[in-house]
This record gives sequence, C-alpha cells and structure tokens, in this order.
Amino acid sequence: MKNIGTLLLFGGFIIAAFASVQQADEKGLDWAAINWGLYAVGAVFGVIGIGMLRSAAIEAGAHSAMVDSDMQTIDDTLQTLVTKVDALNTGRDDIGVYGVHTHIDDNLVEELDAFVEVRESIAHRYGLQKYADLMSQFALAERNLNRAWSASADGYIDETWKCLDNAQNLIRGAQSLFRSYRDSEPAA
Amino acid sequence: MAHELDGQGRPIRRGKYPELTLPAVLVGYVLGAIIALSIGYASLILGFSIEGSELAAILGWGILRGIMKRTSIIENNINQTIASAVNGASAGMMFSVPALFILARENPEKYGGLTEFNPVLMVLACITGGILGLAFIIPLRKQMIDFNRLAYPGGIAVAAILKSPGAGMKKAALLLTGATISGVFFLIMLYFKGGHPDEAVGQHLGLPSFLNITFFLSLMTVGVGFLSGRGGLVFGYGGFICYFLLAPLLGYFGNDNVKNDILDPPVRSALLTTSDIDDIEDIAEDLKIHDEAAGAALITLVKPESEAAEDVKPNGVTVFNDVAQARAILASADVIEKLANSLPDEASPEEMKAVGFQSAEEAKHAADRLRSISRAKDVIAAADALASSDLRSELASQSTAKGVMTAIQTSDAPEESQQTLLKATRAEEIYYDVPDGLRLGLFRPTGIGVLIGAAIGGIIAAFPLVRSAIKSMQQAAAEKKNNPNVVSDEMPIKVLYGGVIGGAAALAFITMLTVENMGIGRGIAMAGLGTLWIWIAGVIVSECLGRTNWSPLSGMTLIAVTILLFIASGLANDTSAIISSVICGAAICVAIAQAGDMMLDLKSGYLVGALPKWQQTGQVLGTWLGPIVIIMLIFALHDTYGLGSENLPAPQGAALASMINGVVGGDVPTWRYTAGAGLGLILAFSGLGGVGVQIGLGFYMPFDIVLTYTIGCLTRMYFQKKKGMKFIEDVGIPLAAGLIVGEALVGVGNAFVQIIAGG
Repeated sequence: MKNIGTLLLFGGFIIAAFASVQQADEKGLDWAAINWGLYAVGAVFGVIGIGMLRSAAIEAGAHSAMVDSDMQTIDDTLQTLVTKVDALNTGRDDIGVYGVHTHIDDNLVEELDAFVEVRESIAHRYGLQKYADLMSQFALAERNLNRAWSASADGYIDETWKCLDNAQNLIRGAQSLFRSYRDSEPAA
Repeated sequence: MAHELDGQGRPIRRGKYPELTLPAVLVGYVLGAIIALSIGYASLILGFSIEGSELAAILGWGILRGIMKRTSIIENNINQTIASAVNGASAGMMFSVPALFILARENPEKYGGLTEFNPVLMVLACITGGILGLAFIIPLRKQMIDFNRLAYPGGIAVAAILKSPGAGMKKAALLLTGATISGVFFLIMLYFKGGHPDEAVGQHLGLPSFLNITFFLSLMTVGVGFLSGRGGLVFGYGGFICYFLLAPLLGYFGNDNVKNDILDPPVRSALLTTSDIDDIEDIAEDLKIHDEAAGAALITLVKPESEAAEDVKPNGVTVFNDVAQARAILASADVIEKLANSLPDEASPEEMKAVGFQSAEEAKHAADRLRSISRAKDVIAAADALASSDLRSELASQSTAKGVMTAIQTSDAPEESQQTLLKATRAEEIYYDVPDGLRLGLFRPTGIGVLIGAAIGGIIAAFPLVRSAIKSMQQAAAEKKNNPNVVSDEMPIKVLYGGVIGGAAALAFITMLTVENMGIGRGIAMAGLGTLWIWIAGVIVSECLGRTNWSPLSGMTLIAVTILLFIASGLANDTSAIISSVICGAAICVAIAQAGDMMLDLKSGYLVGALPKWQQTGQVLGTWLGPIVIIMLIFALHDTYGLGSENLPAPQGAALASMINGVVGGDVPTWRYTAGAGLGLILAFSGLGGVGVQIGLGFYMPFDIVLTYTIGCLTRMYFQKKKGMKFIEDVGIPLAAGLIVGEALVGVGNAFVQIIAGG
C-alpha cells in the first residue's frame, strides 16, 4: 500500500505541476493559463495517495519489523549513552578538564548520531506528542554535552562538571521516558 | 588573574563560563556595523548579499581571543550572533529601500515624490519588523532544531569555526585545508569565469538546452550539500522534476505558447536589447544639450527599434538589415568622443552643464558605451561575412534560434565566420536561455506558491510539535513563577507574546503615519496582513535555510509587497501606495531576514552548547542598530552617487522596482502562485517531513546550484555508507565547513577588490 500511495502522491503531483506550467502567460489569459481540469485530476490522485500513505504509516508504526528494529536500536543506544556518560562522570577527575572534549568526540558522538538517525520511528510508533517530549529531553542532554565540550576546551572546570551532571540526569530521564512508552505498549 | 594549572601547564578556570558579556555585545556591535556597512555597500554594486556569520565568527575569534585574551567559545558565539543580527538589516533593507530611489530616478514625473519618505519611520518600521520576526520564530526553535534536527549547514560551519580552538590539530587542519582549497578554487573561477562561474556540460554534450545541465562551479555549494546529506537530496528532486520531467513533457504536450516562445524561441532583434536602448536614450538626452540635432538623431535612431526590440523578427536574415543603424550608432559615438576631447581637463561646472555631461571623462565613457554595444560591430561584421555567402538564403528560411544556430553550425563557412554569425544573430544565446525562460516564467512563480502552501500545510501538520514547543516554554514560565531560582533555557514566553502583540500594534501605527491619507482601517489591514506574512515567510525561510542553506528571501518580499500594494491601491495616488507598501515591506523583509539568521545562529549555539535565551537576547540587542546604520549608508551613498546610477546600480532594489511597476500595471501571476500553493499543501500533508518546502525551493532556485548541491549530498551519502558516521564527523564535516568558509571569505574579499578597482 505504501508503494501505491507514493506512486499516486507523486504521480498526482507531477500531473498537477504539469497543468500549472502547461501554458505560458499571455495578455488576457490570466487564470486560464492553468489547466484546472487536469490540475484537479492530479490533486485527487495526490489526496488518495496521502490517504494510503497515512494508513500505511499507522499500520507500519504498529507492526513494522523496521520500526521494531529501530525501537531496539534506540533502547540500546540510550543504554550505551547512560553507561558511557556515567563512566565519563565517574572518571572525570582522572580524565581532567581538558580531556573531556576529546573523550566526548571519541566515545559519545557515534551513539548520539545513531539515536538521531532512527529517531523518527518514535513518532511512527508513539505519535508526535510523545516524540516531541522525548526529543526535548534528548536534545537538552545533547546540548549539555556540547556545552561540556566547549567549557572543557576552554578549561572551565566548574561549568564542565556541571554540564556533565546535567547531561547524566537528562540522558537517564530520556531513557526512563522511552522505557515508559515501551512499557505502556499493548502486548503484541 | 592567577589560575591553577593542569599537568600540562594549561590554566584550569573556575567560576562562571562567560557567555552574554559586555565585551561580546560591544565587539558584536562594532563588527556587526562594519560587516553591515561593507556587505550593504557591496550588495548595492554586486546585487547580492553575503551571510555575515562566518566572517563575524572569525573576526570575533581574532579580537576576543587574540587581542582581548578572552577564553570562551560561547562568548564568541554571542558576539557572532549580535554581529549577524546587525547585518540582518543589510539583507532586508538593501533589497527593498533602494527601490524607492530607483523608481523616482526612472520616472521622476510620476514617482519623484517617492524619495520624500520619512527615514525615521523607515528605521522604526525595520526595527519593529526585526523584533516581530524574532518573536514569531523563537518559539519554533525546539521544533526546528531539537525535534526536526534541521541541518543548517551555515550554522555547522560557524560552529566549526567557534570550536576550532579546542577541536584539535587534525580538525583545525581539515577546516583550514577545506577553506584554502575552496578559496583558491573560487579565486581561479572568478578570474576565468566571472562572478557566477558555471559550466554548461549539457551544451558541450549537445543535449537539449531545456535539460539545463549546467553546474555551478562552487565548492561551497558542494560543502553545503555535504552538510545537508541525504535529507537535502529532496531539494534536488524539485529541480529534476522541473528540467528532466516537466520540460520534456512540455515539449510534447505543452501549449503552443510554451513550445514556440520558450522551448523553441524565435530569433529576435539582433542589434539592441531594451536595456541597451535605455542606456542609449540616456546618452542621447545628454548629447542633446550639447548638440540638439545629434541627440535628437540618436533618439530617432533607436526609437523605432525600442518599440520592436522584443518583437520577433520573422526570420534569421532580417537581423542584418540593422546594418545602417549599427553604423549610425558608431558614428554618434565618434561625435561624443570629439566633444569629450574638446573639453578642457579642468572645466567649470557651468561649462560642463552647458555640454550635458558631468565631465570629459563621463563623455568619453558614454562614447565607449555606445561602441561597446558589441552587436553593432558584430552585425556589421556578420553582414560583411554574409554578403557573398550561400548561407544568406538558408538563414532567410529559418525562424527559430535553434534553426538559425543549426544552419550556421552545419554550414561550410569558416569557423571564425560561424562564431561572428552566432554572436551577431544571438541565436546561440537565445537558444541556451531556454532554461531561464522556463524558470522565470513558469517554475519560479509556481515554486513560490509551493513554498507558501508547503509552509502553511507544514505548520498545520506539525501542530503537535509546535504546541509541545510552546507548552514547554509556558511550563518553564510557570516553574519560574513558583520557584524564582529555576533557570530557564528559553526567552520567557510572555516576552515573546508581548513582542508579537506590541510589534503588530507598532507596525500598524507606523504604517498609518507613512502617508497622510492612509487611514486607520487600511493601516491596520496592511500591518495585520504584514504580521501574518512575517510568521509564514519566517517559517519558510528558516526551514529552507535549515534544509539547504538557501533562502527565498527575495521571493517572500516580492509577495509581501504585492499584497501590501493591493491593500494600498485605494490610496489617493500610486506614490502614497508605493511609499507605504515599501516601508511596511522593508519591515517584513528585515523580519524574515532576522528570523532566518536567528535559527541559523541557534543551530551554531546548539552545537557549542550555548543557552538559547542568551542568544535570543543577543539577537534582540542587535536588531536596533542595523536599520540605523543601513539607512544612513543608503542616504549617504544616494547623495554621493545616486542609487540606480551606473556607479551604484542596486540590482536587488531594481528588481523590486520592476516588480512594483508590474504590480501597479496589474501584472502579477496570482494564478501560478495559487496553483503552486495547492501543490505545496498536497506535499505538506503527505507525512514526508519537509518535502514540500524542499521541492518548492528546487522549483525556485537556479538549477546549476541545485545540481552542484546534489553532488555534495551524494558524496556524503557515499562516504557515510562506505566509511561510517565517525569518518563523517571527524573528516567530512570540518572539511565541508572549510569549503563554505573559504569561498565566503574570498567572496567578501572579491567584493571589496571590485569596488576599489571600480574607483
């Protein structure tokens, strides 16, 4: 259904776009420069395509193997991030303030990117509102890590430690939130 | 101040991490004013604005860290935020305000009163617009940056500069390497190919011109595409749909006026274009003061042609009937040259006035201009080449540019003669202008409509995200009320509500004061619709910048002024309608520019861990200065050189002036905007995030940029798949950011060199 929906959406778009540019402007032509009949045909195809895509998305959100796999990736990534940020925070005195930013580059960037790569599946599975709530938490955690990076590069130790503490709490919060979503899912 | 040191002797700093500080604000003001003046002046000559954030970050780096020994990445981020906020007025005002001076210059009888607008009101309107733009866009920060993770390639480049002190030697070296490669490459391209270097690969391969396979030779554009990655590819689809799908379809199934006028254009007058005629008429008017007969003869010479300049000539050979006219134009040049030579070097103003030209130099320049209408010489040369050729009758049977071009290229005439004939007939030039005709007449207005529809639909479709973002700001305000010690990350939502309501009211009040007979109802209607448009266009521009780094600012302003002129059309005269519309339109243009700049800076801020509220405060603090600096620059330059003159052509203002003339004359393709908006709505509700805005921008932008940008996207996708995300983060992003920085800096440098070289 997704493929047919995509085909109808873009087929309809192309037809309506063609109807929009089929005729050049000429004096007195004005609104007749658009082939509105053909345009309407394209628009109808497009709307049917949207309907099919939306149904396919709802269906996929509930049952798709790909979304299931993404959910697992998110869970694993958040767990790894929690572990690594905990470790960074615990060992920060040994790493030293100037070592934190290289530690973040070497150990956390890949996990953060992996989460971002599959994040949209959260919206497919749990809806936009829950997606927004989780992303709020995650983005705040990431911004604190970025601030810890900057403060570390500049040698500001109090700020670096404070941001690492914040990031630790926020990433744990994101993990709890995500797990609460999963726990509230009806059993398949 | 003494610091404790770490094992390697580096200072360990305690206490607050400097962010929004007085030095950052003051340096931001100074740099912002310098950048706004420089870029504003350059844009009046070159016709485009340059984003100032990268320059501000680099200069700030040098001043704050190098001279003032400051030590904070996020403090420099505030400095560049303020500097680019000051510069935001440059992009907004240089596009709009000069239109008033240009219209007055072009038609002093009808529009002479346009220059008497109130500059204080203009400044107040632009400051109000800037605040409105920010108040509308700030609540969308979470949606665009935190939730949708828009790339903002320019923001990534700025962040790479800001982070360079701590990023390590390898990344800094990559940034510098990228900047050097792209800067040197751009310099070479500028030298060999001029201001917008491109390569018509399709033309070399003999492909049809409507496919428009021309690449913009810009490594910055490749870098921008790289930073956008797979997400930016849809922007390319918009262009592919236009030129690889719709254009061929139009060739088969389009109506005759598309097939004949655009896809297979006829040959046109070879000798003069309408802009040539305008220039010649100006020169002739000056010449008339000195020698009435000679001036009148020159005007008569081009007058009949001016009426027919854009008319189609029935076949390719008649273009050579202009030979006599070409010879007469060259003869007039000789008359002016003689006049110039007869003038003393130090002639008094009275003497100069008596001969029409301001100086001997200007008279010589006019003579050169007449001669430099190179087609006059080409037409004579081509007519000579054809005099005894069989090709003459072959050309006589052709009526289209392609037909003439093919006839010349397949003839037995020597290569040199072929080139002379192609140049004189303009056949090749007209044939390879087909994509411009398609874009300007069909795809661009449709694209503007798609952008509008997609933005409105996008706001509706993403309503839960927008609501969540605003709700979190409201929650922060409530928490702060309950516990004053809570530190909020965002500017208080009540301040933003106040900004919107107060800004809209102030804009209505200012609009009412712009002209005497405005009236309360019309003033409120103009400001109300203007405010609504600031919201919609701010979202469009911010999203376009976020997904592709390009902004349809000019298109959004053209729509704004069109709407405003429509409301103002009931005023006593066109002058009042235009003044009020351009003042309100300038406010909207500044608002949109500020909104886009804010989001770009917030992205840089996100990447360096800045607190959004300090950046938002910094941007607001920078909003007032730009309009004051720019209006002073505009008046100073106008008094010295005259806006719209050869010394100061102000191409962006000229484009708006021409559009205003079109709107006043009832020439606006509303139907194509409407059809495009429907297309945008369909895509917005598809559930495919951002696809409508990107496809709309693909319709709107020149295809050479789209093609080169796509190379960057595909390169990123290839390396991401082959080498992984770590390679992209460690190597790709610093290198791509360097490509952006290098070309941007050379672009700014080149602007100054051109201005200095031009005297």
